[in-house]
Amino acid sequence: MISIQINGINETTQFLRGLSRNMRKEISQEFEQFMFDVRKSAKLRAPRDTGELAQSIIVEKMSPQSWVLLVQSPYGVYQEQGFKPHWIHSSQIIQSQKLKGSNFFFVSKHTPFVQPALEHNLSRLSQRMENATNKAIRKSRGKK
Amino acid sequence: MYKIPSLGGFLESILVGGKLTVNVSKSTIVENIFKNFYDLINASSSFTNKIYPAFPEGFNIDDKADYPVFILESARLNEEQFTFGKSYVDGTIVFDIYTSDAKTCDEYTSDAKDKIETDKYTLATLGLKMVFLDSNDKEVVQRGKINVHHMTLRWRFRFYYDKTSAY
Repeated sequence: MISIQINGINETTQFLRGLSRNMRKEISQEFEQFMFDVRKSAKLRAPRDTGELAQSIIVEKMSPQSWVLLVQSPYGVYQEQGFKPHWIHSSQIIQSQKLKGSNFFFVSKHTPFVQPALEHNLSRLSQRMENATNKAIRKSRGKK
Repeated sequence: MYKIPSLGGFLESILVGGKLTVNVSKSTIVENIFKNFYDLINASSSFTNKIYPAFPEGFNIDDKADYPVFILESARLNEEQFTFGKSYVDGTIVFDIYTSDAKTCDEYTSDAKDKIETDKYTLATLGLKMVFLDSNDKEVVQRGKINVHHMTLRWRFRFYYDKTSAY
């Protein structure tokens, strides 16, 4: 007669129950941190004169699993995606220090800041997810 | 460094750079965690009076003369249940180093890392356990004529406290 005894069913059930919850929590926290890091990188890369563009980069939590990086300044999109070279009048820029005293000036160069920030941080995202997953597994096993 | 002669060895160990670091409690957790990390890093001569909670007023990001600058953010906290009567907070605190050359960026990184590493015991006596460097990440950004070297150091820590009972 062969007798087979299986031990640890309760622990396995407990592990599996906790895994889903812990995984969601850890991944969510890591993504939030990722978004804050992208924001920091984007602020560092944003062209600055008055500082308005850099200030307007924010991260908003839309739902427990979703964050959005917003550039609220109206000219953010043109700095990111480019524009046709053109002349503007100084009255259009109220607080500029660099362009004080000029009447008209020519703008031709755009500086992308969100895409490079995202690319820099994406290169480490897989490692961050791996760390978060390992942490969730450790927590589900009961090892804090 | 200011010392109080009658306090003896233990309390002297938490006198850092003339400033007494503070015990962390449930009601003052965010500000006191910031203060402890600030005091410890600020005690190192490389960082004295150059650490800010955000970019200082009048800081020109494109001016080489304004570097280095160090930014210590407020701690981010996540609450967890430990036992029936106790909870703990898993938190992170981020320290950013901005310099205009690579070598000093690495030197400042080593200094800050070493300062927290060697003062782990001090932090533990103040209530912050399991302090370790979770990650460090470097990026170099060209801004006009200068290259900005930016290092992010993130420490993790844990703080245990008695839960408030609610019926």
